[in-house]
Amino acid sequence: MTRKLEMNNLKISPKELLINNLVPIMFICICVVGIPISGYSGSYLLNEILSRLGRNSFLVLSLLIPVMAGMGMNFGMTLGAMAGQIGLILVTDWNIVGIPAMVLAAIISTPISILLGWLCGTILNRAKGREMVTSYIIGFFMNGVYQLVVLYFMGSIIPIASSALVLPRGYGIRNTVNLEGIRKSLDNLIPFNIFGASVPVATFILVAVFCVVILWFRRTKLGQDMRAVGQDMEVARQAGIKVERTRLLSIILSTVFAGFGMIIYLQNIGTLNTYNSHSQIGMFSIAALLVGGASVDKANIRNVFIGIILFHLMFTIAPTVGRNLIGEAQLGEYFRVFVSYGVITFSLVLYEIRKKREAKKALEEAEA
Amino acid sequence: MDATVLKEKSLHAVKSFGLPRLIITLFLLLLFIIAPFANVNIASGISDMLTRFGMNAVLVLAMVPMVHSGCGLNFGLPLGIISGLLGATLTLEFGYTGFSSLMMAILFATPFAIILGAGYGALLNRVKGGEMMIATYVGFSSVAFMCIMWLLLPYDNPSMVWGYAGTGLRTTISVEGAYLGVLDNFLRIQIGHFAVPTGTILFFAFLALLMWLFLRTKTGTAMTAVGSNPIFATASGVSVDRMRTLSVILSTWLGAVGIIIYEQSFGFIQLYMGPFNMAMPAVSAILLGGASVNKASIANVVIGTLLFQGILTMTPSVMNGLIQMDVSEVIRIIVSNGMILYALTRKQEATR
Amino acid sequence: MKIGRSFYIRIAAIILVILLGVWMFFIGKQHTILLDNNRYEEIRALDEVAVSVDGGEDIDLYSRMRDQAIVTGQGHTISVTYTDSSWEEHTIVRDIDIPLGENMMIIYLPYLVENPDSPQEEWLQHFESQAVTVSPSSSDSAVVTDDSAGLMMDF
Repeated sequence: MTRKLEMNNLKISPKELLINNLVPIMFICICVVGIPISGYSGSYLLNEILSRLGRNSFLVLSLLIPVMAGMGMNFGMTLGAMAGQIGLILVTDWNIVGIPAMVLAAIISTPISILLGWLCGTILNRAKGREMVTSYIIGFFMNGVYQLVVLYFMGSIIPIASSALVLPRGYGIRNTVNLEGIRKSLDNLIPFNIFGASVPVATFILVAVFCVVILWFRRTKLGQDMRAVGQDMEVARQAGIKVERTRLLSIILSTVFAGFGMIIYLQNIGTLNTYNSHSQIGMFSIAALLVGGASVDKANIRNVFIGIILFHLMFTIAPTVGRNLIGEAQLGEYFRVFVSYGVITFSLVLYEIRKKREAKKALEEAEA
Repeated sequence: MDATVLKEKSLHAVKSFGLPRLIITLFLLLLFIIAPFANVNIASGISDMLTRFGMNAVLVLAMVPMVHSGCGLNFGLPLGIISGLLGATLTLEFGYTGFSSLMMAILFATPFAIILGAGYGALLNRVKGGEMMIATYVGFSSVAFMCIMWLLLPYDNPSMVWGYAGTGLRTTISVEGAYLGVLDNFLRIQIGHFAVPTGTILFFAFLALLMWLFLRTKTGTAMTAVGSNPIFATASGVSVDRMRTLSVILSTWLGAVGIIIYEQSFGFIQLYMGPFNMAMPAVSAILLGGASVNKASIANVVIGTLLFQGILTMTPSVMNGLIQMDVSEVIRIIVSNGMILYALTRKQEATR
Repeated sequence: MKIGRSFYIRIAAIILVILLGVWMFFIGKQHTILLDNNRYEEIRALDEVAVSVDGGEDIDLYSRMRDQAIVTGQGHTISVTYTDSSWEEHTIVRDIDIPLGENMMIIYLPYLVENPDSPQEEWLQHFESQAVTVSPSSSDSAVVTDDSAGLMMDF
């Protein structure tokens, strides 16, 4: 089965190759046209891209595991982001700083992520075939629970001592939490500059380790099972693989890593928007991955990095381009929101069309 | 023996009614019972509920055609809303007033709804089985695209554009002097705190009746057939794609009319990110009314909108009066998305 | 359920992670040390004293002054340099151990200089900060929970 697919891939026509890579090509065009208009210097852009590559890679990489298990883009990664944020709120309240604070936040986030991931995975096992829309709604649903915990329980049921965190009314966390204590503590752990741009070396090392872990994971028993489940659930079940359990584990792993990713992301940003930071992180991460040429059923590490570089070049230059072209920076901001959504829509449509075509082809072959 | 029969019967009743719907109905009843203790006026509560019912019912009705033709829940409602917004802004641009402005808004919105709906329908025909996710993102992309357009389109009525620049539409535009309240105040019943926006409800009833009649025409039954059994429908000579496109156009048009009715009551046109989150409440309302991913009736619309809007109006006031803590926003999020999750995970629908 | 080897390994791993967390709590906790050069009971304030925490920059304190040093973790070294009445310079180096859970501690420098060998508890004490009132800005007290608000942010 796999061999046959690969053979089909070899015989891909140039037109199909173009369609499959339309999104990255489009983005390269946008960037090539946009960069001169924006008027940004090379070193500024390099600095931006390096910093964005550092803070987003981990988040985007966390999406790869569910794709492997055939569950599509895990819109439920916002759940992990929420867990990471709860960890960060607590360590900030306890006055812990630096790398230990990040490690502790990660440790706190893990059980929360596991619980949320388990919940998400269990629900997704009941909604096979529409994992994406379901995980998307789970993100919204859990956002309500997150608000309940952070806005009503923290400071009343969960003790929060710091008056800088709690709203004046006595319970609930403020809109913004200052993460002064951990700001760039990982990025600047190993200082290094190149062409006037600072390189977050330690963050990159962590990302590299995660990449190696993913590559290793693909070869383990569980990783193989996941790929088998992703190929064909029924075949995998007949081969004696516990399909539900494998799918559940893939979501749990993704959620846990998304939590770590959120902590890395926020140490770079330096402030936590308590009620907003997590809400769109899934959408942006998925858009970045798709820009890198990934599709709903196929994504690898190369897609992650190409995607982040292209997507974030667009993200950085869009407001200035909008201002320089039309005199309205707001326009550029709307444009990048439109492009993010547009990319996801386009990739989803492409995936569904291809899936249908393949099913038709398989049917014809079976009949012949 | 009798006891077990009774138990079975009641279990069956609960099952057919749906456990979440039962819980939410009981919750709403409970809110009405404890309302007097929280110093909340029940009469004004009920009239608020009716007003909001009138505001939202058409938007919920817009779910029905697409569910019938098997396109699933219309998460792409923002597309219809955008057509409505185009109609509404054009009406104001040309300076219509009174009842005629409402009619003109609907009239202007219609061609947009038909064109956008046809395109949207053609797209959904190519992605059968994955409609809902794509619908969601079509809605979102179109909202983001229109954000750019609202800034660029050459509107120049001073009451609508930003004062200092002279271009670009404002975020919220008042419909006062145009169609504000033209339906709400038609045959309005007002007794003290108790008020009924008769005109709006009659208008909804009219549309619902049309929908009910349509579903019983030859085309309507063909549409339902396409949704429930596409293979059978094809065999009996019905074009699946055409029926689906027609249903999407209908849904989109109803979305356009829905937002105009909403503005008529609400008083403002909300542009830019305004339509962004309007699909979710409508989707969860119809599900709350007992609809599922592939089955929806007019009764589902009425019951669902009443329940959903009832919860939305009663929770904040009762909660505030009782515990001085406004958790209504959280309850709204959990109830509406919980309802959608419940529908997505129900076993009998997983087959499709 | 059969309790096998992997079960014990898992338990050990969980305990290890918890211990790591506790360790992180110890070494990452930030404390504020107030350096106080005011009259302490019967002991007069010093005319001039320089304090260095963990070999950092000297903090100069004249009579009736108070300054602060922010440190991370529990074990620290402070060196206090002062000139006595006969213009001779002395340096006292002491290791301090901040109790866990203390956000703010105060060191009474005159007492420490007078009794350089006294136990830590006598001159390093808990300090209750006078409720730092952060004046809430209006944007801070209102909570924005709009779903689409996150869209316009940077990513």
